[in-house]
Amino acid sequence: MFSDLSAQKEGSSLLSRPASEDQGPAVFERTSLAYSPCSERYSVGERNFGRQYAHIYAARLMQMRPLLSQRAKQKWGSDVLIRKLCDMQTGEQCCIVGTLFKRMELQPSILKEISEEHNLLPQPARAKNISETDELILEDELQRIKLEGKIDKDKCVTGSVIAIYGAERNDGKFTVEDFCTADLPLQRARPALSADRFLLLASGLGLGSSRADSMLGLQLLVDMVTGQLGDLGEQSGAATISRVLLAGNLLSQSTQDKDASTKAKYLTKKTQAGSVEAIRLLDELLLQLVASVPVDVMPGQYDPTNYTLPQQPLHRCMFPLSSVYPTLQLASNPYQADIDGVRFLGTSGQNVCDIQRYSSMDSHVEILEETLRLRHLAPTAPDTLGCYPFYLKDPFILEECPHVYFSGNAPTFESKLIKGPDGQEVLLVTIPEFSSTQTACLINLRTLQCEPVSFSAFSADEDEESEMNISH
Amino acid sequence: MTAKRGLITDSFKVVKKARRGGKQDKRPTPPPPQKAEAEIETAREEELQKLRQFDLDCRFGPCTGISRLERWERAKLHDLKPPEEIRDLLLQTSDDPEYSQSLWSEYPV
Amino acid sequence: MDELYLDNIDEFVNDHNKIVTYKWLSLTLGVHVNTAKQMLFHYLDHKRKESSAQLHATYLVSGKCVDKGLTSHKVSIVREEQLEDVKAKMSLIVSVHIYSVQKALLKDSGPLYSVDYDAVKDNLKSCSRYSAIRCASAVPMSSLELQQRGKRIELLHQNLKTKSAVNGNGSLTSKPSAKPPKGIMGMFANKSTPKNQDSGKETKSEQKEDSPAVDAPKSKPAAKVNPMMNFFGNQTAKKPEKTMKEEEAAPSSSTAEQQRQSPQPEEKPDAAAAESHKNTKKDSRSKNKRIEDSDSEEEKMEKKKRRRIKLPEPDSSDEDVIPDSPPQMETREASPSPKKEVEAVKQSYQMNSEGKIRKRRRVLKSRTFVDEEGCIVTEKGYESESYSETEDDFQPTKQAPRDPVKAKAPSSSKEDEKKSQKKSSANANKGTKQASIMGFFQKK
Repeated sequence: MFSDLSAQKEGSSLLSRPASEDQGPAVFERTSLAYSPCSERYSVGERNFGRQYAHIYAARLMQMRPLLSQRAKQKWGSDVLIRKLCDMQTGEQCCIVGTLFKRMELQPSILKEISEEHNLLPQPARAKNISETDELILEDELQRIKLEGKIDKDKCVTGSVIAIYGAERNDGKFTVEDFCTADLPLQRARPALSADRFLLLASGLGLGSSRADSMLGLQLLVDMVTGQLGDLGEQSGAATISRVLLAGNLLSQSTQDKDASTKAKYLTKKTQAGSVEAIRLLDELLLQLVASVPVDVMPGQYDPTNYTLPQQPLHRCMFPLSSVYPTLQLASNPYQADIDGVRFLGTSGQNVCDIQRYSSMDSHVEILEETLRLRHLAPTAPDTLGCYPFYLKDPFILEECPHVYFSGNAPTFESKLIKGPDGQEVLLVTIPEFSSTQTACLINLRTLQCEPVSFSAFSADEDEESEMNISH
Repeated sequence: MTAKRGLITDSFKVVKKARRGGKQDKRPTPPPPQKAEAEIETAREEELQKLRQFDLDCRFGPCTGISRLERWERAKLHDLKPPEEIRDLLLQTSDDPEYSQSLWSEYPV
Repeated sequence: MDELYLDNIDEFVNDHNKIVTYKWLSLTLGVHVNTAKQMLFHYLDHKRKESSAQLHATYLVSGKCVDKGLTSHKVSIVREEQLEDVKAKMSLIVSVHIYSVQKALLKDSGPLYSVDYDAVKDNLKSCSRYSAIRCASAVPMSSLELQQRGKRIELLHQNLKTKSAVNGNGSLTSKPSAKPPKGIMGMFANKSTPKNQDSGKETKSEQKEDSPAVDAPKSKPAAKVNPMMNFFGNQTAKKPEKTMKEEEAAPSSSTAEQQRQSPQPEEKPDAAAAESHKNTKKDSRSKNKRIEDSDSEEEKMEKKKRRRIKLPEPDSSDEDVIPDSPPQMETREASPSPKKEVEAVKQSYQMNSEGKIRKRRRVLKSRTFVDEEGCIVTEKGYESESYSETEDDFQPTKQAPRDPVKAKAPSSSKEDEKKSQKKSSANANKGTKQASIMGFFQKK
C-alpha cells in the first residue's frame, strides 16, 4: 500500500545528472494531523507503595461485575440466575462472576525458593510455566471454587474476570458448561479521512547492544522517514508519515548491568553505566527524527524509567538535544491517544509476553485479541507482572474500544482485523522488535491497513553469509 | 461471681473511655458533669460501631491501607451504594484517626 | 552548471580514499540530498566513461515485496552486481539511486553507517536541512517556551496530586504541596515527599529536634580550628554567585548556619536526647533533613563537591601527574604518622572572586607506620591538596611548580628532599601549616 502510493510514475529521476541550478529541488511538506494524548489514566501522581494488591483485584471485580452480568444475561437469557459463591446451592444451575486464579506448579515463587533452597538447585528459567497439574479456581469477594468442565485452563490466565455458567457438584467443584468474557467495549465511530496518512510504529530499537550491525538498518529507517533516501516518489510518500511511535525497549537489555548493585563501589567507580552511552545515541537519533516528524516515545522493559506498569514517560532531561523540539512527545506505557480521530491503545509488550509465559497461547496477536475480549490490558498484573498498587480503580480495564490496538517487541510482525459484537472494528498489530527483525510497520489511518517496512543491507558475500551463520 | 463480672465490664468501659476519649473529647467539653460525658461517650461508641460495621462489609472491598473515606468513595464510584450516613460521619470527624482510619489500620501492611 | 563537484568527489574518493555516501556529500557540500544522489551518478557515469580507475558503488533500492502472501515495503542497500537480482525480486520498484561510491569493494555495509554517523554527528543541528521533507511544527523551542512547558507539566502533576486521581492518598497530600517546587530541584522534592508521608506523624514531630543535631557536628570543627574556618568561609563566599537565583536568603552561609544553630540549643536543652535518637534513627532522620531545608542540602552538596576535588585521587592521572613519577605505593590501612614531610611538588592555582588564591598542589608525604609483620615502614606518596592564601604569597609560589619536577624523580633520597624543601621554603612555611591540618582532615 505504501509502495503503491509512492511509486514513481515516469521512471527514476535520480539516475541522471543534476538538473540546472535554478530549478530548485523538490521539498515536500510533512502532512500534519490532529493529535490528542489520552494517557492521563496511566499517569501515577502520588506514589504510595504501602498498600496491598487486594485492592486492585477488588476494584477490578467491582468494575467488571456489572459488565459481565449484562453479558451473561445476553448470552444465557435475562432470567439467568446470577449468584455469589456464598449464596450458591449445590447442584443449582447458575452463573457466577469472578476472578480467575490459576494455581501453577511451575510458577516461580520466592517463598518456595527460600524454603527449598537447601536441597534444590535453582530452577532454570522456562519459556512456559504451565503444566498438566495446573488448577483453575474462580474467586469472588468472599470465596473461591475449583473449576472443571468446558473451560480451557491452559488458555486462561490469572486475574481475568469472567462469568461462568454451570453447577456445583457434590464434591465441591464447579462444573463449567459455558463461560463468557466482557468482550469489546463500545467504540466511537471513526471519522472518514480524505487522504492517506500513515503512522509508523517501531519498537525494540535495542540501542547500546554489542551488535552494531543493526544500526545501519535503523539509520535507513530514520533516513526514510525524514525524507533523505529514495526517489521523489518515496519522499513524497514519506511526507505522509505524519507520526512515528516508538513502542519501548529503545535500549537494549545489555545496557542493564545487573552486577552494578552487587559489586563493590570502588570496583565500579570508573565504569560508566552502559545506558548512558545508549541514551546519548538515542538522543541523537531522536533529534534527527523530531526535526522532521512528530515522535511519540514509549518506555519499555529495559528503558530507564520505573519498571512496574504503568511505566511513566522517560524524563526529558535525558534528551538534551531532542527535547527542545515540541515534536518530541514522551509518553507513558500503556499508551493511548487519538490520532486524527483514530484511537490508538497499546503497550510495549510486557503484558503480552507475560501472558505468553503463563498460558498455552503463543501468537502475540492471538494474545492481544484475548486481552481485548477480556476487556483488560494486563490481567496477569499484579500476579506475575509488576504493577502499581491502585486501589480506586483498575486503569487497565478498557473503557473505550480502540481502533488500533498494538503491542511492541513481538518476535514477528502480525496484524489482524477483528470485529466486535456491537460492530466494533479493531486493528490488532504486533510491532516486531527492530533490532532483530529490522522491521517496522506502517498503518494507513484512512483505511486501517497495516504493512511491515523492512530494511536490509548486505553483510558479506552470499556464500560467506551462510558460513557466518554456522559460526554463530 | 455476678458482681465480679459486672466489675470487669465496668472497668473495661472505663479503660476505653480513658484511652479513646482522653485526647479528643476532653478538650471540647472539659467541665460538663460526668453524666453528659458518659452520654457523649456512648454516642461516640455507637458511631464507631457503625464505622466498624462498614469496615467489615465485604461488598466494599478490602479496608487495609486506605482510609475509610477512600473506601467509601471507591464504593460510591463503583455504584455499590455505600450508606450516606457513614460519609457524613466521616466528613464531620475527618481529623480524628479513630474515625478516619479503618479497624485494621494499626496493623502493618 | 559548473561541474567543479566532479573534481571534489574525485578528490574525496581517490585522494582521500573515502566512502562517499549521498548523505555525506549532501552535508559536506551543502546540497539537497537528491542533488547529491545525482552528483554521485554523474560522477560515476563520467568516470566509467573515462574508464580510468576501478570504482565501486552501492545502490539503494526500495519497493514492494510479496513474501508468502504478505506484502511489505522493503528498503535495501545493495552492491552494484546484486542490483538487478534485487530489482527482479521486487514486484514494484519505488526508488533506485546510488547510495555510495568508493574505491574499494565493500565486504559489508558496516562502514556505510560509520561514515554517515560522523557526518550527521557534525551536523546534528541541521541534519534535516537538505532533506526533501519539511515539517512546519518541528521548530526548536526557545528557552522561554521550554520553561513555560515545564511549568505546565508541573501544574499538571500538581493537579494530579491534589486530585489524587486514581490512587492518591488524598487526605495526606495537602501539606507537602504547600512548598511550591521549582525546576529540577522541585522535581526531587516532589519525589521525596511521599516518603515523608509514609513515615507519618512520628517523624514529623522529630524533624525539629533533629535538624540541630545534624548541623552540630559540622560546625564544631569550624569553631575550634581557625584555618578550617577560613576554608569554609572561602568556599561559601563563592557560592552565592551560582545559586543566587534559587535562594534569596543566602548570605555567607557559614555564618547563617551558625546563627541558625546557636539559638536552637538554648531553646531545646534536650538536644542531648535528640543526639541519642540520632544513632538509632539515622537514615530516617537524614531523609527528613533533606526535605526540611533544601538550602542546607545544597550547601552540603557544594561542600561535598569541593571536598571531592581536594581528596587525593591516586588514579585520577590528569594533568597533574608527571610522567616519570615514582610508582604509587599501595597504602595499606595505615594510620597516618604524625611525622610528615611536605614537599610542594606542583601547584595549580586559581583566583577567586575576592582576590584570594585557591591553590592546588601535589605534595609528597611520607608516613611511617607499623605493618602487619611488625616492621616500621615509611611510605611516600603524592597527594593533592588545595589551600588558599592571600595575594601576597602569590609570587613565590608561582615559581615553584617547574623546578621540583626534576627533583622529584629520585625522591626517595633524603638529599633531594632537603633541596626541594629549601627551594620552596617560602611557601612551604605557610603551606606546611595548612597542609598538615588539611591532611589531618582528609584522613577522616
